[in-house]
Amino acid sequence: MKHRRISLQTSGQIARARTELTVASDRLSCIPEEIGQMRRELAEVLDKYMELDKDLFEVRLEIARKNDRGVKDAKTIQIK
Amino acid sequence: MSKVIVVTSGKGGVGKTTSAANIGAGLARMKKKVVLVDTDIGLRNLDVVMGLENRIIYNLVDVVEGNCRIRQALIKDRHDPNLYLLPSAQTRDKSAVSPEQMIKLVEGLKPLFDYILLDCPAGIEQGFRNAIAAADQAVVVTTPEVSAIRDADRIIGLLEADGIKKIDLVINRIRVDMVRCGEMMSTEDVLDILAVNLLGAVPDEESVVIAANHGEPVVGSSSLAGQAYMNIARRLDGETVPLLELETQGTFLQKVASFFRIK
Repeated sequence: MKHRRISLQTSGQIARARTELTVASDRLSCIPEEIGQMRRELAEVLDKYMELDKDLFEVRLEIARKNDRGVKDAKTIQIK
Repeated sequence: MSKVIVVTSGKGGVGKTTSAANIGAGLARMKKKVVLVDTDIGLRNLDVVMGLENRIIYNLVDVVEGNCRIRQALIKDRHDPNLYLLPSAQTRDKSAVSPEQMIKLVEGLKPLFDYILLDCPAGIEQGFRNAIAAADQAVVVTTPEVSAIRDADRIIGLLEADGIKKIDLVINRIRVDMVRCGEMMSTEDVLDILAVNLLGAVPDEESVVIAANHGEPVVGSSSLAGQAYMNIARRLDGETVPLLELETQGTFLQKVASFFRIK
């Protein structure tokens, strides 16, 4: 049973990846494909200035904005 | 100073009401005066989960509309004298109560109780708005599923935007066997994504269903779920309680050890 899955991801890992992508796209209010696109473009830009392993590259966005009460409303978005 | 806590989830069917009932029963066992308020107007459930469905005379809407006094609508739990229920109305809808009325209602409960737990309806509409209006802190219930976590994240955002500072997470229906073979997201996976304080994880157990069938809490029983809910209540009350064994991933050796213990 187990050996068949060696090269494949487990469904738990798939679920986690899907959740991360949906949550990130919800937080940014954009479609999931755009997230992948953004990640690729960010990697391309950064690759011009530094050595980058595009597979290990992870994006962590901290978005802070002021709301009507004048307090910062910070969101953290992680894209793998 | 009484604490007003909303139990919410966004998605329906993740165990909000069961969690609210068990956390409430846990706090009551700790000799705290607790009231559970069912804010799901039109779809009342908490009375059935607590086994009090035959004792309802007045409900939340009656109190709000001034048909009765708060004390008349409160129903004492069958087992614990510290635990009370304020049932919801079954024949009305969400528009029967406004957020302002809910705040006033909770103010009326504060002198009587240490803990006021608001069981929130699913969704993010009026019923949700009513429930969170009066709350100082929130317990978000989720399960290790993509849809439930996505909704929990939305809810956490809405709670933060509403100015609720303290938000804790309960991860319900964990199947340890499935997590172990990688077929379910683990507590750690869920926490990495949601990044909020973990109040506890509750295993998916038959004991929870059986207790609900009887209209009784699992808290107080020796089942893992019962212990998990008791720990959640203690943590909510500010105690530091180590996580139950089911919540740790465990090293290879621990897994082998637990495998043999089952036998």
